[in-house]
Amino acid sequence: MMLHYRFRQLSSHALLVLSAAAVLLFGAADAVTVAVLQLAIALLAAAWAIRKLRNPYSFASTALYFPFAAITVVGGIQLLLGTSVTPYSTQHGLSLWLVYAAFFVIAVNVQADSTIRSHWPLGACWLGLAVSAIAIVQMLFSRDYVLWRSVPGSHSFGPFAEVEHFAILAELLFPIALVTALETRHRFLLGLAAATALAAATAASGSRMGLILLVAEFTVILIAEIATLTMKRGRDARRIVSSIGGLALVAAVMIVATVMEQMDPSRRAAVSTIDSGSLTAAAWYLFEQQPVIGHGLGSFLVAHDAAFPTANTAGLVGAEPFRLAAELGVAGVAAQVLLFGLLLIMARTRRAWLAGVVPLAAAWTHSWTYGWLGSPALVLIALGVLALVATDGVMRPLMGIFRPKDNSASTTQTHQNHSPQRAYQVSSSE
Amino acid sequence: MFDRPRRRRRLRSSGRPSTTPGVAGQEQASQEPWVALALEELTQGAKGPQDAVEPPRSKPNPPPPTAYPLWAVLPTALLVGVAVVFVCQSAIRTTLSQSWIGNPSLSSLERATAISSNNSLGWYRLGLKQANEGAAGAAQRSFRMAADLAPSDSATRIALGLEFERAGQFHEAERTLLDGSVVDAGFGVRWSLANYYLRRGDWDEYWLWLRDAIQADPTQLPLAASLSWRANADPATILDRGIPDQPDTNRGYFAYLYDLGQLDAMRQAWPRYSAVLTRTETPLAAQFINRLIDAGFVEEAVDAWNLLCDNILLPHAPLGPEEQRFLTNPYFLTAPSGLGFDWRAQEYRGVAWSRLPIARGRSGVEFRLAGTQESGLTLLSQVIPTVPGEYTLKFEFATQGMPTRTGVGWVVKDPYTGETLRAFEGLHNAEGFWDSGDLTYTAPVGTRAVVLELYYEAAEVGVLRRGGVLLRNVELSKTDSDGAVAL
Repeated sequence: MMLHYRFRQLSSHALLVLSAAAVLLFGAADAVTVAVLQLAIALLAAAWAIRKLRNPYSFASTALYFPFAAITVVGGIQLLLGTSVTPYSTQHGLSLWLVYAAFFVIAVNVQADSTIRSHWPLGACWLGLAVSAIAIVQMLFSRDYVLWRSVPGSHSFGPFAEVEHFAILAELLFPIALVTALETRHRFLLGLAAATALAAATAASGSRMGLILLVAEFTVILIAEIATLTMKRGRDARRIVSSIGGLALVAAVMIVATVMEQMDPSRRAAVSTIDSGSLTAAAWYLFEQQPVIGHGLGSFLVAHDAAFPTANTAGLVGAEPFRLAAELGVAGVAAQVLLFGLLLIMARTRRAWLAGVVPLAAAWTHSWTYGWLGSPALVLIALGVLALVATDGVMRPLMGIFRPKDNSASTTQTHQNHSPQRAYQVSSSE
Repeated sequence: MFDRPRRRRRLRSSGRPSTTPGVAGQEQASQEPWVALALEELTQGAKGPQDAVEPPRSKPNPPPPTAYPLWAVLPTALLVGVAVVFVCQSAIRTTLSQSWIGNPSLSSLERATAISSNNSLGWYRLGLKQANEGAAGAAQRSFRMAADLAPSDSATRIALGLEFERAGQFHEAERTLLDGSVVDAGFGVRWSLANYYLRRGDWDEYWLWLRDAIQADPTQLPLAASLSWRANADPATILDRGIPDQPDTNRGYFAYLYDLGQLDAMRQAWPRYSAVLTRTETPLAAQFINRLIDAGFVEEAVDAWNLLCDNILLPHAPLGPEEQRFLTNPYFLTAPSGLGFDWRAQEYRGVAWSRLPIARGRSGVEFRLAGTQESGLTLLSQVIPTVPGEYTLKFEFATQGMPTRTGVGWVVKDPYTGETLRAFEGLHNAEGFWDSGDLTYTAPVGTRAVVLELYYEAAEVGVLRRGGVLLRNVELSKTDSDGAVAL
């Protein structure tokens, strides 16, 4: 029988590979890639469920499951009661959200082990570095291509068909890379390289919103780092120099890349200006029409078309928080409020704030001007970041997870220091 | 700090057996070396509390997995199983159905609707395919399925309505399209209704739905107007019954008529259009005035021109032949625009013109001749609304580097008959100073407008002039009345 640790490790690798593959395969925008992702994550969830039945293990639970539960339950109700404007779209939407929920649950459970958890920031750094490198090389040598696919005249950048999606990915990964560089000495170079590459690629992409949010993230991390260096006296000079040098390098790259981007009119012309204000008003109007049950998960475009037939739906890309509210009604609002409320409550460490709350807040802000919930790759990355926050300060009991009667604190600490083979997740039968 | 691992190693390496009798937990102590050490230290005489050994904590046991009761496990397992099955089948169905819908063959579309029966797009595409292949009954069924699945999608209702109409089921066709107009406030279904009533010859309903369609989407006005023009070429009826009297539609319809070249219809639409004029519409309005002038509708052109001037949409004073206001932009306060009654400066090879700022709020215009220009050019012209009578033109000019006979002069023509009313001999050179000139001509009875032209004609064949001619303060007055009235 496979060890629990080994099982978690394999699951973690599977989730990381799926996330990276989703990003690299054009952001999982086409139906086949989405289906493969859905099947893979569903099978993984089934494996976890079967293992739980056959060989019980401690199940990590967190209050952050509730927003996903709310979305999927309401989606299911819409489908069962037939209240959705387009049942087909709702079925597909519900299927996707179930997969997202399963991904998040498994991610939280695998990250409950600190050894495994440490792989995730590392994976984020490597992914950010690879995607940025691909994007920059592609921009220099074959602008009309997305990897090997020719898409002339598109707003593509990196593996994404839409430049704003790349910017959102960078917003999610950049703080993790920078915090990894600043806090983990043996990953300083990797984190710094990833952060620098992400910053340069975002500046070169021409996404103004992406660049603004990246600068905001950088500023927050810079202030936090300065505050830390100021407060902790007697820190070794090498650490201080490397921190300041790393931040200065990232800042310099951002400035140079931004200046170069501004000098390139072709990239600037590729950036579309979207009027998200009217879309926000339209989404709010739709929410007011069906505030209780919503128009149906995944049915926003159809509902919008019916209500505003003369509007050009081709530009419907922003106001995502309100769109979710219009689709799910009050449950959509509650899910978002709950998610961010819990996030703020649960993020108690500096690392959780800088590498968790900051990137998620940036991506959420970006969703007002350019939505990304339609890109499964970005959702998976965001869920990974969310799981990092949920499991930060591993084993801190939230909803009764790992809550021994005695010595709960020492139990937690002890487990973190254990080698995998000595971890107590080994079941009695093993 | 208590270093537990080091302590443990030390204890293990000491290998001391637990020999202290009579101590509770002896058996346990034999298994836990730290207990033995602690007891030994205690029995050998502890010096005080500060020497007491803090017992290391034992390795914590993992919390036992919660044993959930069967009534909780079974529903949860069932729920997870259902969710997994739902996700898998949804993913497979969606992928296959989308793949098959993308294939235009009938069998693929049938497979798509079979595997994903709630996909309205699949049914809609299948219906279109069946309709194309002449399977009217099957197409109707497919469209009905699509309409049931997506009630707010008007495209399926339009297709179903057309199928009913094709099958001669006019009542059903009308009802279906009207249902579509209820669920969709857009252009498409209203446009289909207008077409339907046009084919049925119901003109009242046609105009009603056409206006409704245009109001739903004013950008589709050219399409709607073109249908009306093909169906009923009476401009007045189209304007009155087919075009909603709204600013956007009035603007759009006037632009459509301009593109169509329908001057009479434009004249009818002008009152509506002129009521919603803004500065952005000025070029189109001025082009309309040009067409009016070209077609000989001088009075209408003057009225339209004066409307633009009165509303400060053009930077000129209104014209009034009766009030002795004949000339537009006489002091070249703006560059010649070529619109309406303003000056028209033509572009020629070898000729360049520019507006010169001159003192006291009066400007001029300069023509530079490169020596490569052709002969017989109209450098500057203006159409002047005129009433019959005698007129005097006065102007000031200067030359730069021109010979005595400059080859530049004035000519006055009737633009509609082509008759030359008066030609002025070429200007003499006026190097370095402003000279003045005048020209008197008579507009005979029946003249509505004249065109005043500044021409260049080579004085000698094969000899082209090189230099500059400057012009300013052009004034026109009617001199056969009691007194000359300057502009």
